[in-house]
Amino acid sequence: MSTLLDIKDLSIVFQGNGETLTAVDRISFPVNKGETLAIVGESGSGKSVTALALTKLLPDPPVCQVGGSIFLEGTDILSLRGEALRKIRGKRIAYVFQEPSTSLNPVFSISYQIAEALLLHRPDVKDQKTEIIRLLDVVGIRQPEKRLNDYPHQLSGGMQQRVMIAMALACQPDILVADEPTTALDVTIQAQIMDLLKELKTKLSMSIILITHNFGIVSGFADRVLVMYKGKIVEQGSASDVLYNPQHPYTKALIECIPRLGQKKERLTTIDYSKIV
Amino acid sequence: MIGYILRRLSITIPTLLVISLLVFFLMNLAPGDFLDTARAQRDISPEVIQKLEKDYGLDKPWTIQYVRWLQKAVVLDFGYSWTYKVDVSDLLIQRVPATIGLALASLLLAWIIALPLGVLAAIYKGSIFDRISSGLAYAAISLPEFFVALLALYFAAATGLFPVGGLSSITSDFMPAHLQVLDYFWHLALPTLVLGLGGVAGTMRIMRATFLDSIRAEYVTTARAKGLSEFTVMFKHALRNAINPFITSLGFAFSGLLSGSLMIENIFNYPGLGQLTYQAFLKQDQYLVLAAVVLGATMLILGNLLADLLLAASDPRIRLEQRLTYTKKRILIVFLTILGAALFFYLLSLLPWSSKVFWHNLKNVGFVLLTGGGLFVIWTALPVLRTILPRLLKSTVGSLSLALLLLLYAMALFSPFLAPYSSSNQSLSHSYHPPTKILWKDGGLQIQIYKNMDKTIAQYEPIQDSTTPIRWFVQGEPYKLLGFIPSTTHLFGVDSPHRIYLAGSDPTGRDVFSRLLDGSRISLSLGLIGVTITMTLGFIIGGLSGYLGGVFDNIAMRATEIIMSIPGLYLLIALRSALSPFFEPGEMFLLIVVVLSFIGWTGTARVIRGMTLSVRQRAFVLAAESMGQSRTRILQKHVLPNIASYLVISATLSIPGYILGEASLSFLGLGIQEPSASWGLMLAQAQEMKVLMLGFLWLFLPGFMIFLVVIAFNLLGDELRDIIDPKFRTDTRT
Repeated sequence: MSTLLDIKDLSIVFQGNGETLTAVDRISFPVNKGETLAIVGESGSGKSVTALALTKLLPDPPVCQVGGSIFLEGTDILSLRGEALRKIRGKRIAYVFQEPSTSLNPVFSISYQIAEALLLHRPDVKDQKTEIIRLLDVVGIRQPEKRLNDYPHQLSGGMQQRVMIAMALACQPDILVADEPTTALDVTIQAQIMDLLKELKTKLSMSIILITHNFGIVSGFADRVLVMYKGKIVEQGSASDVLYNPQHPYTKALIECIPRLGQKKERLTTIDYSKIV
Repeated sequence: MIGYILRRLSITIPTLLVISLLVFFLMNLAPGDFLDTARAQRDISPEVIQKLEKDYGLDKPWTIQYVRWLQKAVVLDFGYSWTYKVDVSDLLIQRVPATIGLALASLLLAWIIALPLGVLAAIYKGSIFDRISSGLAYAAISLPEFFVALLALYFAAATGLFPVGGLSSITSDFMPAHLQVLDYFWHLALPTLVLGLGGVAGTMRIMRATFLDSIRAEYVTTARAKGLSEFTVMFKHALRNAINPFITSLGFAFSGLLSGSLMIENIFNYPGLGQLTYQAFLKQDQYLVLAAVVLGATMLILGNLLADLLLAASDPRIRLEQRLTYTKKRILIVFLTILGAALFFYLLSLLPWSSKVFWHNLKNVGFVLLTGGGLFVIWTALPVLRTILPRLLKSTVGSLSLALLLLLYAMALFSPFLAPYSSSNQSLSHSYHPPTKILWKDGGLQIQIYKNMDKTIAQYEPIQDSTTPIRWFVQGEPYKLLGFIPSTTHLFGVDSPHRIYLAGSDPTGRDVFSRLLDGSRISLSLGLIGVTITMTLGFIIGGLSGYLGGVFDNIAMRATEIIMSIPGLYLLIALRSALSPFFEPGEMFLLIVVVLSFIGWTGTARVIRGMTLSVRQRAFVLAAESMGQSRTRILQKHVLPNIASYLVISATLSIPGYILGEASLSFLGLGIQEPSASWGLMLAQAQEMKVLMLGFLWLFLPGFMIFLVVIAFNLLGDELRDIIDPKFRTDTRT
């Protein structure tokens, strides 16, 4: 497998009110073509800012300083600006965010928001409407032609997330960054969305970076897992290795926390931080 | 859509009915009517008067008159204006375009300037541009409109670039058509600018805040992640969302413009609805007043409807057909409400209004209410202040504004001692004397002595080397310090016949500095007293409304709606004219307090109601209720402390309203009367053509003082809000 994205010594530092906070501390990892990489960690571990840093979506300096380099087929994304950077956003690396209800712009219809991406990155598409209908159909929206002029508030949470995915797929990206794509959805919808992502991945042969705090959805989905804790990568390896043979105490603790069927327990397991070195 | 508009319009009918009832009642409360001038004329015989009274129905009780008026008003016949000797409808049709033109032009101007400024300030948040423009906007919302208008008039007079008032030039009729149009806009320019300026500031602040909100929204990140250019992200995705809360403010903007135009039209002598209404009030031209107020309220309601329609068009999340269905029960309730209101006003009119004893008792009741309210406000505010004060003193803005206010209040308290003269001390030979120059000579402070060179234009020249020393702790006019310590000592003064004018003199040679000090007592105390009354009233009514709900809530909220749908200054003048005969000339201050409080309680009541509702739904109130505690105890122990801090903020931020209200009334000659001093009344002197032409700028000082106090209270209030609830932080700093 060839390396598509190579992250080297990435560090992210926030500044404000005279305080400095190192959110990500010199991490390096590759993303291979066609693989699904899961980045797992608790809130504040730096996984979401890492995702945003991939296309420089973080606030500008001096509020936030990003160091290191992110190579996409030889070019360092962090050194890009303006037009060149925008050619990567959406076209090469696309995003699906956590909260679809706030991530979709409430005042534009869903077809408009998808068309915007199409128009920008695939101007060669002649019949936009058909393409949008096709995309909506791909992500499993029923009767897509009737939904075109709907506004985000007219759709359910699961449908909204499907629209977000359709929007991300519109430009046929090489990498799809899914930042906690199911956290805001209820459990049955979660499974549907995860199945959809899995299906699309094989169909479109793209890489997926899945950001999550939930080991439960990692097991059936990811090829490789990367565990982050306090801005550092504490463990990485193939999904089965990390899941069944965790080395780092934090990873072990995290896996312990997954509730299992048939297990008789009074309370859910929590992490005892004093035991993590 | 059309159905919605019709339904919305139909629910305004009850409101308009009750408003007309209220105004009719107020107009008939005061003794006298529009025939008074006719009665005073000897050459009109009593028979003629009697016939006129019969024709106009003045011999009937007011209720019958109202019904008669209503019968005609339904077919849009609003009666006859006695002052102008024409039908009221004709008069209105003549005057409305000027006011609407003025209102729309200034609204447009405000938007054109304020929208880009607000957006830029938000994008470059924290930059020098943002700091300067936000600071200026803050200052501008604290500037009284009529003060700006006066400054604009002075500018027009001094430069000759703009006409000093009027709708068109006298020669307009002889001009070719295109020049007539130009002439119209030339006259419209200054009033529009002045009226628009207040709008610019407010609009810019709203725009900046809403745009900042939408920049931070997640859909902006989504748009960026799609690869859209920064321009598209900002001006398509962020701006379209920022516009929505902004449209909601349109309704309020319209109401402000209507009230504002009354002042502006008067100052610029611009013949619109505002000026007409004001004159009609003065002349008790009943039908004209009635029609004008109803029209004003209608315009306000239509403005709100328009804002709602625009919002619905702009924001797909808002659907128009919201809970506006007609059931028999609802119609019955509306019907009963109107009947109830009619009965209420009828019963009110039966009270012995002209009896002295009645008023005496009413004033006593009011005094008791005020004292009780004052104690109550202090009792609720003290614990909040105790926790806030240390934090307030830590912030620069907070401590500075507090220090300024304390200084002003101290000066007001000791004003007779600090002032060299009493506020009515005249010296006709020192008319329009410029501020005295102070020199250091012979080891002490001395003042320059001036000679009046030309009495017709009040031209004073300093006399070379002629000075007189300032004396400290001199004996002068007697006064009572703090109202009870008799004294004759003044901090400073000069030997007679010379006079010291630190801030110049007015047309009768009274000392502006002394009068400013004296006037500060009115402005500063009125704010506090007014707030105490309205807080007490608003608190009781709003609190009960929110806590009890049901019928009480319904009645109280409908009442606030009705009061709020009358343009503020119209209602102020109506109440003032209605009640003035029942107050002695010396009790003008009391009258103003009553009038301002009557309007002021509505806003407080609605805010308090909302807060009570939200507090009430919290778990701890439910818990207290489930323990079987009584309602009063829950209100007192659980609800009150939770809204006390909001009470403090809202009180601080509403004080400027009272100060401006008094100043406006006094400025129009309807408030504090000569020879007493009040800042608004003093500013009215600056309206004189002579002052504008010859540039006696020191007479504009009262306006500056009003500005200073208003901005100090605004800053203090905002600082308190930031401390108590950082959620509402206005984001003037990074």
